[in-house]
Amino acid sequence: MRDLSSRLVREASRIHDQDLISLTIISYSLSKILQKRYFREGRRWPSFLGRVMDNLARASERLQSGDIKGMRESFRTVFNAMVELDAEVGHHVNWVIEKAKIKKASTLYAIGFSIGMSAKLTGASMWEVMDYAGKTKIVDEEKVTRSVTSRLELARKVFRVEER
Amino acid sequence: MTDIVCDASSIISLATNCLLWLLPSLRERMRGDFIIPPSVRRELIDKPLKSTRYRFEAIRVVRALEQGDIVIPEDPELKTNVAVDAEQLLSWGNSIFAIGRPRKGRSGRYAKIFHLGEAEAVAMTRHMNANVLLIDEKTTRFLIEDPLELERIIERRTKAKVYVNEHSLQQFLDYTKNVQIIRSAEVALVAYEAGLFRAFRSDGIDQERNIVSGVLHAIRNSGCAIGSGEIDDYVSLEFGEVRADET
Repeated sequence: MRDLSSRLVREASRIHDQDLISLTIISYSLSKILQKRYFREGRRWPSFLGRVMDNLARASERLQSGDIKGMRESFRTVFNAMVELDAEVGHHVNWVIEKAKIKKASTLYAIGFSIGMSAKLTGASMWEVMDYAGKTKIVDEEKVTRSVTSRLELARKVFRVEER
Repeated sequence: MTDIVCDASSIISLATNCLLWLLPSLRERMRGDFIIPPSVRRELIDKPLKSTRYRFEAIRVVRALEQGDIVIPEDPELKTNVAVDAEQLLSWGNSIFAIGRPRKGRSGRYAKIFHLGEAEAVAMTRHMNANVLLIDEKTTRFLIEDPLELERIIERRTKAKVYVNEHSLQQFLDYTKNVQIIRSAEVALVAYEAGLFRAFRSDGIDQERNIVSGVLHAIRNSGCAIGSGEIDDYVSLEFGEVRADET
C-alpha cells in the first residue's frame, strides 16, 4: 500500500488531481494502520475494515459511473472511519492521517511543487511541511542556483554590513 | 530606503527558530521594512492559531506584526495591483511545465506548481519597488533563477518527460528579471556579521564557529532550502576549513 501511495502521488502530480491525492493519503494512512497490531486486534477492527472496504469499492463504482461527488463522499467516510477507530483504540489515528498529509506534501515539494501548493493540495499545514522537508535530503540532491558568495554579497549590501 | 518582501516560508523559518528578534536591528540597518503580502497572513497566523502545534510560533509572528517588525501593507490600490499581478503570475507559473505531452485544449496537463501566497510575494516586489525577495522555499527560487533546473528535477522525480511552454516561461522571467533572492540563512549570517549574536558568545574556543554553524543548521532543519554543502561553504567563508563534526 505504501508503494501504491508513492505511485499515486507521482501520478497525481502529473495530472494534478486532488482526488488522487486524497486517495494517496488514504492509502498511506491505511498502510500505517495495518502495520499496527493493536489496531488489527481491536474490538472495532472487523467493522472498521468492512466500512473501509465497502466505501473504497463504492468510490470505485461511483467513479466509473461519473459520480465524482459520490466518490468524494465515500472517501470522506473512509477518513471518518479512520478517525473513529482512534476513539476506540486511542492511538492517535488522527495523527496518522496528518502525518500522511505532511509526508505526501513533502513528496510533492521534492517533485517541484512549491511549499504553498504542496500544503494546499494535501491539506497539510505549511509549518509542518517545512519542518518535515527540512529534515530530508531533498535540497542536497539539487543544484545550487547562485553561489554562496554572491548571495551573501547581496545580503551584506541590503543590510549595509561590511565584509569582515 | 530598501524594503524586503518576505513570503511565508522565510517567516516560518525565522519564527520556528525564535529569530524574529533580529528583524528590528536589521530594519534599522537597511532603513526599510520587511513586508509580507496579505494572503500570507492566513498561513502564518490564522491557521496555526487554530491548532496547538504551532500556536506559539504564530503568536510570535503576531507580536512581530504589532511591533512593526513585519508589515502588511494596507493601501487598497496596492492590494488590488498586487492581486491582479499575482493572478497573472499564477497563470504563467502554472502553465510552464507539462508533465507528459500536453494535449491541445487541455491546460489541465500543465503542472500547477505555484501558489497564490508565493505569487503575491513576487508581485509585491514590483509594486513596492523592492527588488529583494526573502524566500526559503525552493520552487519559486528555481522558477526565478533557474527554471530549466526545475524542469530537470520534475523529470527526475516523476520519471516522465517534461515539456516547457516557452511563452509562459518567458513572460514569467520577464516579470521577475529584477528580483533578487535571499533566504533566512543569509539574513542570520549577516546578522551574525553585524554583531547581533554577541550575547551568545562565551569563552569557548569554537563558540563563534558553533554559533554560525548551529544557526544555519537550525534554519535548514526548519525548512529553509539550503544545502549542507552551502552551509559548509558559509562556515568556511567565515572561519576557514570545515571540521568533520560540522558536516
